Amino acid sequence: MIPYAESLLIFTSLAVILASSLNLMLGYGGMFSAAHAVFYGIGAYTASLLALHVNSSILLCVPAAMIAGGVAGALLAVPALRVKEEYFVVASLGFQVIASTVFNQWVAVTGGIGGLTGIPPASFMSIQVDSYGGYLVLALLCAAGVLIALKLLVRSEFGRALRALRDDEAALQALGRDPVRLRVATVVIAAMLAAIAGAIYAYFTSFVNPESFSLDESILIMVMVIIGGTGTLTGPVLGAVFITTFPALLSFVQIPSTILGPTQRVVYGAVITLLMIYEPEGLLGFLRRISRVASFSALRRWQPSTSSS
Amino acid sequence: MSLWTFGARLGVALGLFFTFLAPLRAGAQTLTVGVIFPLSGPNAVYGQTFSLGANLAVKNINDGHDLPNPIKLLYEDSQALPQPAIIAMNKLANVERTPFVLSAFSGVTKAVAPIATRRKIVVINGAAVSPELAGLSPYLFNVIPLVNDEIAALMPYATSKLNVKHLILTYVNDPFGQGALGALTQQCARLGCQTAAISVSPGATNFQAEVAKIRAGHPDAVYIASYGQQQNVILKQLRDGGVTARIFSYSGINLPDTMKLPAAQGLIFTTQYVSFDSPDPITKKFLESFRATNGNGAPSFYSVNYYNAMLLFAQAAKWLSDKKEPITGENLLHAMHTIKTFQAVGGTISFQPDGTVRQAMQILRVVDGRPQVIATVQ
Repeated sequence: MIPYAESLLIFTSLAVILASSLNLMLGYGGMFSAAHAVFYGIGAYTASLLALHVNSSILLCVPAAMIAGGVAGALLAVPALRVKEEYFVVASLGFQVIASTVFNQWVAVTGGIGGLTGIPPASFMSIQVDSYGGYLVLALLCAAGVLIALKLLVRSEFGRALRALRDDEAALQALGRDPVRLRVATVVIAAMLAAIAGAIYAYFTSFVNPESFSLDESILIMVMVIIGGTGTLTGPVLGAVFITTFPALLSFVQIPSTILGPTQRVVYGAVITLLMIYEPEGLLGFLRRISRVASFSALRRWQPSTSSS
Repeated sequence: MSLWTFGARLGVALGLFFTFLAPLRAGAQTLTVGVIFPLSGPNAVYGQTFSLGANLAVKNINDGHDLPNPIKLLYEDSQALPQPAIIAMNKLANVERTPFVLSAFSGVTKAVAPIATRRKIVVINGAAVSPELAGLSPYLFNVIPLVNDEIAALMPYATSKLNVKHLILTYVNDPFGQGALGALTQQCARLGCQTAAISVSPGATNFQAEVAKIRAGHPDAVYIASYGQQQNVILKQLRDGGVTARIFSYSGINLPDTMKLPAAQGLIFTTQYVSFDSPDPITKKFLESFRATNGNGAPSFYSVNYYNAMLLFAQAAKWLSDKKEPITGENLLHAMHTIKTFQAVGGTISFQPDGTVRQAMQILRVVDGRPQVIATVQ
């Protein structure tokens, strides 16, 4: 039981990193990207190749994955950010298609759709991470590090400028800030953070192939951010936890095999749709509402006792 | 109640759910076998076909009381993707503690193989045919011949009996297709036939340009190395596009819907040798029970493979229970290495040291929607 919960928590931590890093672009910068899985994949492939051919040290592979992710982010951002809003979504979609093709077709480097197998376990100094518990600590530390970095970032002048860019670009320009440079920096930072998740994924699964970094994955990351609540630090975390653990919970429900898959997907889709219809602010808004209702009931229970005393 | 208090309570509730609900699923007095098939998404049709054979085998084994405890299959939906498959495999290994897992699809099988090795769980693949699956894990066994074995069985027949001198391969650009390309190039070089290859992307559905190239190439035969709906589309567009050459393929094309296509008339393909006319009781029982539940149509080889996979489990588990040894993955592996040859539908099954099946092959031609054996290859 415990290793299963650990593996689920590892994937949840990776999802938290991915959703939170995308939220920097989407929630704070107002840039909808359909290519976040590309940076995840570049991080995974970079770490895998280094681990396979050079050294599996975290100190080498994770920074290298971040640099490669950042370069890929710049490749998307520099040409694409001359366009805005829906045009940027389409440009990022094109970037995702190109990257997926490269992952699939550059067989000599990526192994094509067959992927890379036998990726050695992560190592730190002379310690080898070869247990689920070890990977969980690593994934949680990375997720915590990313969340702290994002918290500091969004509270800094950079974060304030980013929100201003989202809300009123003309005002930001009037203050002498360059919106394109700000957007490029945001995409590069988000890509570098997403690449960390890729590196941990590669170490943990010891197998990477393009199926894990497809457009579907990019959409799923976007769903995590939107369903959790954009523009907050807590929202994407909630979204990532929900999207990763809810299907796992559903898999414990006894359903005949003939309808198991479709039933799980329909329930999963219906819950997401209903949540968006009745709680457009996402899970964070839903939890705030519950919290308000609970506080109100507690207050009502408390009032008679105070009046009688 | 603050948001964090609510979060903490939710966490505790989830922890209790995972701790107490999971053991209820299997029950204490059953032998559990995990099944990681695509049950939703575009490949769900395969999952249903694979399940047919496994479910049938479990019913027959349990009805015959061949084992001290009944077998229960625990299904997990892989969606034919690595990450859901890894989560499913971890659940089967650590929550359900299944010693034996049925897997399908190359990417999924590759993703679960390291967990199988680490957690000592026997994995049986009855559907993926990528050559890279050979020797992937000491715990992985393939009850389906890999595509290189199928091509090695077909090509000598094609060149000598069907006089094929020029062949064009249409292959999906993935490990399976690349494996087919390598095997076909090697076989044609050995047998002295001329080859050309045209790759198609996974998921592509329009092949007009490829069909035009094939038609212009005037081959004696076209080999289709694809799967799912794509192979049906290629087959149909080849015939609609005026390609009259013989069409060859592998066992993956042997789906009931494909056989019924008018374009499948005359299609030649390979599968492992399974004699449905065999008088042995296992084959007779399989056919009787298959027809009782699915009508008089011919069973697909996928159904046979997963039926056989469960027979392997039953024979290995029986061997262990006779010796009063616990049915663990490690012991099942030992039993499989000791038993060596297994009684299966249509004959016997044994394995090479790299986990690939050692089995005779057959070449079939589709006539009026039904595949008919035209040759067998040892």
